[in-house]
Order: sequence, then C-alpha cells, then structure tokens
Amino acid sequence: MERRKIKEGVWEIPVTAKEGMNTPARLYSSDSLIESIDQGVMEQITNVACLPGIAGPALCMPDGHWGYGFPIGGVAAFSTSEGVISPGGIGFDINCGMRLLRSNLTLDEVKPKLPELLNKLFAYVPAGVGTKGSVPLSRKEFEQLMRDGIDWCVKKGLATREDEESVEQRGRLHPADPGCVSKKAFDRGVSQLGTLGSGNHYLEIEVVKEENVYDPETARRFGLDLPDQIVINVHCGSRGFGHQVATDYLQVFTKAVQKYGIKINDRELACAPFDSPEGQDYFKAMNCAANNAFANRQVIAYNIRRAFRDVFGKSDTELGISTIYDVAHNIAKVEKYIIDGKEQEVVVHRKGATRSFGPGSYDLPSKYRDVGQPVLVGGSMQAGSYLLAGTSLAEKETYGSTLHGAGRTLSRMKAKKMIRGDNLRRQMEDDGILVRAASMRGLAEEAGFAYKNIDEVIKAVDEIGISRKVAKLLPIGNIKG
Amino acid sequence: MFGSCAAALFSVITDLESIEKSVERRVDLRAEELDALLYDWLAELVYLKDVHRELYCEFRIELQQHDGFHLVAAVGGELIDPLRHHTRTDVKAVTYHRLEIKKTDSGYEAFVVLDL
Repeated sequence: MERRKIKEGVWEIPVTAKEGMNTPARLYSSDSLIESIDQGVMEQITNVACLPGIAGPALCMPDGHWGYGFPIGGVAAFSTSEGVISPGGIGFDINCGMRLLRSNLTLDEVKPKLPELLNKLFAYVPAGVGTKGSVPLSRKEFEQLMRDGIDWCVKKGLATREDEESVEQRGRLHPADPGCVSKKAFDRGVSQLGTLGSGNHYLEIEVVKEENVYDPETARRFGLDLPDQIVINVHCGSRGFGHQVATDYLQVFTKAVQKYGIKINDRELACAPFDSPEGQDYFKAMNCAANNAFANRQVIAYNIRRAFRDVFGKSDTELGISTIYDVAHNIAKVEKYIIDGKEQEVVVHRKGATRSFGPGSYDLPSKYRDVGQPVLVGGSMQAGSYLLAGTSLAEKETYGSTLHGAGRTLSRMKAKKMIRGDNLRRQMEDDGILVRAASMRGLAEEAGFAYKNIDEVIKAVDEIGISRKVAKLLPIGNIKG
Repeated sequence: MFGSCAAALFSVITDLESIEKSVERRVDLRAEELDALLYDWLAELVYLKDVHRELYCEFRIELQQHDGFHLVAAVGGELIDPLRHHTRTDVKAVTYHRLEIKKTDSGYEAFVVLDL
C-alpha cells in the first residue's frame, strides 16, 4: 500500500489508497520500525479511515500491530454529531490500562525479602483462570461502583483521596448507566473485583536505576526521588465484565450498521452513530466497564499495600506507597481538538494507545499541571517499562495520544514453540527477575522476544515528540496471570 | 462443527482430558445466520465458564433450521480445580475477526479467532 513520509517519524497513506477512505491514515514510527510494520496494520488503519464522521486522519502509534477491527495502537477521532462509536476501536478489555505506584523503599531493602513479597502478593492478588476477588459485592453496590469508579473505592476505605486525584479523570467516567449493562455482564463481573486476570496482564516490582532517569526534575515531580527506588506497576482491565459488554454490543452494532446503512470493511468495525440510542447505550455501558477497571486496579493497589505492610512490618506512611498515575489504553473519550483549523468535539478512540496530555492541560492533577500527564508504558516482562510525560504536540497532532507498550512481533503460539515456560522462568531468574505465574505455559507466551524492542519504540515517540522520556523501570519481580 | 469448535475453545484453556463431567448446563440459542449462531454459542460458553467458574468437555447439540437456526445443547463439565486443571491461558471473548464457516466434502469447517 502506498505511503509517503510527511515528516520525521510520520508516514501518510493518502485517501486515494483505498476506495471509501474519508481521511488519510498516518503511521507514527521510525525509519527502522516502519519496515517491520505488517500489511495487516495498513489494511486495518485504512479501514478505520473509511468510517463515517471521522474528523481527521486515522492514526497508528509506533507499537502498532494487527488487532480486531482497529489495529492495536490505533487512534481515531469521530465527530460527536456526525461520527460513530465502535467497540472495535476500544477493544474487548475496556479500560485495560496501567497503574504505577511509588514507594519509599530501595532495591537493597526489597531484594532480601523479594521471594516472600511475591508470595504474599500472589496470595492477595488473585491471578489466572477462574479466580475470585476478595471484595464481595451486592447488586446495588456493583451498580454504584459502575457509576462512581474510584469514588466508590474511597467511600469503602479501599482508596485514598490522593489515589483518586492521580487517576485519569479521577477514575470516574460519565455518563455511566448500569441500565445499559446486560445481566450477563453483571454476572461475569460481580465476583472479579481485585483480580489480575490472565494473558499479558501482570503485577511487577521494578527498580528505577539512576542511569535510567532521563529527566530527573520531572521524575522527582512524579515521585521518583530515591536512588534505586522501588516502584510497582499493574497492567490489567475490566476483566469478564468489560469483555461481556463488548461482546453484547458487538451483536447490537452488527444490526445497527444495517439499520443506519453504514458500510464497514470488517465485521469487527461494527458501529453505530455516536448520537443514536445504540451509540449512547454502548457509551454508557463502556463507561461502567471503564469505572469497574479503575476500581479493579485500585483494589489491587490496596492489596499491594497490605502485602508490603505484612512483609516489611511498616506503616503506610513509612512505606510511602502512593499512586503516581493510573491511565487507560483501551477507551473512547469525548474531548475537543483543533482539527482543520476549528475546534471540534470528538469521540477519541484509543485502542492500545495512551492519553498523553501536555503541561497546562485540563484533567491533570494540580501537582503535575506544569509538567504534563504521566504516561505509563508497559514493555515485556523481561525488558521493563517506561514512565513518560505527555506533551502539547500530542494534543495538536495525535488527539492527545501516544503508544501503550512495545507491540507484539511474535504470536503467542510462535513464542510458546520457541521456549518452555519453566526454562524462561529460570532464564529470568538468572537475569535477576523472580516470577510467580498462574500458568507456566502462559508465561512462555509473554517472553521478551515476542515483543518489539521497547527502547527503540520509546526512542521513536520521544523523538517525534508525542510524549517524552522520563525514566525506564527495570523488573525484579513479576506476578503473571 | 459446533461441538468441535467448543472443544477447541476449551482446549485453548487446558487439556480436555483433564476435565471431568460432574455438572450439566443447558444452552438454547436462536440466530438468523449460521455464523452468528456459532459466535453466540461460543460467547455463551465463555460466559458460563466465567460465571460458574467451570470448564466443559462434553457438548451434546441439536441444531434445527427453520426460520433461521435454533441450537439446543447440553454442556457437561466441572468446577475449575487449579490442582488438576493446568491452565494455559483464559479465553476472554469470541471475535468476528476473519470468522468463516466453509462446507467441505466431509462436513463443515470453521475458522474462529478468540481473544485471550
């Protein structure tokens, strides 16, 4: 498919590349990464550009890879009056996202107790297939949680107000209407609060080495202020609840495309006008699932604090475990951007893409207002993760969005064929990373070589300027679902 | 084909041979198209697995065609036991991504992508 470089780090596929495209598509990448981008991504992002009411170019971030409907790493903005909303642009795991916690502990303090700490975390944070959460919910409580997200957690004593301030949109998206959620979604979600799940979801103990801090002042503002400081990273989402909401509405939208006469190139792009009963019902149900995901990561954070208290015999104040930030990377949000020279209200779809608001933007905690939003990027469990900061350029060019991870290059099946889980675990232990996994076979699927080189992907977004490098976080302990 | 797809789904999660049959669930579904029925059937199994925390190994299916398609099934399996069921990964959703049903000389062939 035809593509041309329009500036450093950005390639454009013109509207003429495929019949039905309403806007061009743009790939954010680097000279070396662009060569490895698969044809599937180009097909999928140009299919997105064909959807009605798309307000500007359909974008794909440097970690882009083949998904269902949208590519993973896909970002698109649709007019709230003329455009659509599509579950295929959000993902089955609604508000899959990251939470990063700082601590007052250093590597020297944690290392001797790491096996005990991982065992405790593995006991307090259920992981794997068929696990149950530790917070029993009545129907009424679950509905309240869907509406209020983190605010519900604060009232239940599961979160502090400081946690709440450090979550995207304070962990409460609206409008959220439990009346738009099916009984099936309710049934699947009600017993899973505080569980990690499986697949690529994890809880990681990481260390911030001095040589891996690229912007010491911003790092300090984000709470990274000790040498060899220990941080905790959580990657998970809305569990069965979000998957059921997506499944339910995929069926609703399959009928809606016929009803509204919308032409789609892929059934996973089933959608409805945002300003239609179907579109609004999905948006309200999606927000319920997003609030559930924020609460899920919060309950996990609550149990992380418990585990650290138990193992180190210190108080919360002494441990200083506080939320640096919590951000979604599978979501749709109503936001305003200057597109084609005029301000437009759009529903931004981020599918495997993270919000990246720059300094001075709205919805930033006051403590970060002048440095920009923390952007949390999860790499593979061997390579580590990154803490970045959002930029004004992202708000100008990419609807306030950036990448979310390293991006897969090998399928789970191929990865599994290349290494056995127990061998990988030994290899990781030799490298100083302890692992507790619910499934050894699942572990092999997440081997570092199954992903793009995270350092290269981060270098690309930093150089393009849609987020900037603050620190790299190296894993020392991993709980894998 | 519906039974084979169901067995394939659960063999993604664990070894089918490790699942015993001690509970039975009923499924009753209607759809206008065969591929939509296949999607609904597999999505229903994912739902039952999560809600009851069970794995299934036996699928007795009756499929009728008049005015669309009608599937009635008895699904046999048991509660997930982490000691006996060595799970690989969970199946979280069924997708329409490249979903295809083909008629062949020996019957039907289906291609389904699952979200893990």
